[in-house]
Amino acid sequence: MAMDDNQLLLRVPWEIKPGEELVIGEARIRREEDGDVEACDAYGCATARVNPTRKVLAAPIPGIYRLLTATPYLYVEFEKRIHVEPGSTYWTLAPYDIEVYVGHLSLVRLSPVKVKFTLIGDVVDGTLARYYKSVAMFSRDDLPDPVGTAIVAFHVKGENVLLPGIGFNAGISKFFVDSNGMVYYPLLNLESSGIVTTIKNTLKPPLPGLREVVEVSERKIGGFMSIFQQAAPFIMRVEMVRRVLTTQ
Amino acid sequence: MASDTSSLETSFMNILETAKANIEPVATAVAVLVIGFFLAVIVRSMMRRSLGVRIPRHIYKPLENLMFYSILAIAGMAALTPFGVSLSTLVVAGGFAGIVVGLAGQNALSNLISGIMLLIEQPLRVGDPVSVAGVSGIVMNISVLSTKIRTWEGPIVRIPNNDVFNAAITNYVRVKARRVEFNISVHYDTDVENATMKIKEYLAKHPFCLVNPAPEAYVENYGESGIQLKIRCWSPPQAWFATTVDLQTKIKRFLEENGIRIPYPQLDLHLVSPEEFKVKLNDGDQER
Repeated sequence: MAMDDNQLLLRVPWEIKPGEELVIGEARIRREEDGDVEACDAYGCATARVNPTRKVLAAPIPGIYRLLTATPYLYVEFEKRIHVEPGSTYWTLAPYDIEVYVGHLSLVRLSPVKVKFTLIGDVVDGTLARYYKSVAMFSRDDLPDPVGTAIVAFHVKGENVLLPGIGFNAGISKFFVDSNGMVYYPLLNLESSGIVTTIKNTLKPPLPGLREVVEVSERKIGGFMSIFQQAAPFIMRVEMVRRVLTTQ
Repeated sequence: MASDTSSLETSFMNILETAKANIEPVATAVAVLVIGFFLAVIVRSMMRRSLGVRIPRHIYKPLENLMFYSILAIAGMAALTPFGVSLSTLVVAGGFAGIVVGLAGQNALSNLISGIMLLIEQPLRVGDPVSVAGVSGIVMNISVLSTKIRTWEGPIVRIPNNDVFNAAITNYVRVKARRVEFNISVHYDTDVENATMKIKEYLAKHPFCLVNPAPEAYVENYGESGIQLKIRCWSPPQAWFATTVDLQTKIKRFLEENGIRIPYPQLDLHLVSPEEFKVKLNDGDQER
């Protein structure tokens, strides 16, 4: 039995039973009846043999681990810049990674989307961030199908600003799921003074009625998370934004 | 009876005088020791607050102890002064001993001070890939006297801290991005604009080539055998080597798949005044 994107069960973490295959974007986890588990994404495959009586689970983790854990920040560049006003909430998509695990033991981390990085600011003082290109919408319902990505809501305070994208500290993120199995990052608070835009991760659900993916935070993904938890909020200055725009 | 009383009184007064004479220096000595102790505690606490957050515990702890016990020793010497022990004699003796020790351990002292400066300034940290004093590799350990670097080839090199402190240090991970750069030649028949555009697209797809700063491909030189292209992209410093190796390896196949030829070195020979000349061909022992 194969569970594709449209059949994702509402339960997160997703369980892969013997004989099943879980496909999310470019990530594919296949578990054979004899206990062999093969997990692949665009960058390679990993295999392991797991006792068929044990549960093999996959859960979303912040999209900052696959290929290289170099930064706690995610930067989502919008296909079109969006004019944001204080008091409003906007919606976009950001990648998450998938961790496949047995009990407390991680088997592999996969990325359902292609991995890219970018630099916001200059080489010495800038911020390295995992990069993803998406759209920004005024309503969650207008977002495209979020295959392999999580929904991100950001609430705007301060002044009107024309945003080319948003960056945020994903190292401290937990995830929420709705009744349709859609994955959400916590609500972001974006505060702009006109010159400096600061984006803070509130760790709160962006909508009422969402369920927190408790299992992920309980497993304490990697010791270096403690370093990331101390990382500052994402700060964009006007000159940084200009620099990003010149690359378009 | 009266004389006995007077004698007792005199004795008592003498004891009192003696006691008074002895209590005063003892009290002074105790006061000096107490003040010295509190001073040492304050200095130790200040050092802990300022150094404890900046340098590892195994480094600052000996320094802290050295300072603490030095202050106690000075206080101890000062406490002896009321008992007639000359402090100046002790200072002179200590100073002389200091000079002897200083001369004997000049290098060690220099390395120690450099080590402390390195730990405070932190131009390199354990785990950083660096080039220092002609040695390149990963920093394994920074102690108060020396720095150990595991070279790319494997051996561990111990460099005295004085040399590290005075050398130019290149730290490869203190920046947010590092540029991957190499040259490749394409044939003179190549549509250069199309080739550079395709190479840039290829670089943009590589996971470690940063989106910003954008990858670059441009003509650097018109060489003897082909057009030399400069290819550049920025990558996270941790992935620089992997990116360089990956791109250099795969770019050839990419160019071939896109019909872009890499030229061999070639030399066109033009004879200005052709003259008849004989060619002798040897076919084994048979001459033709």
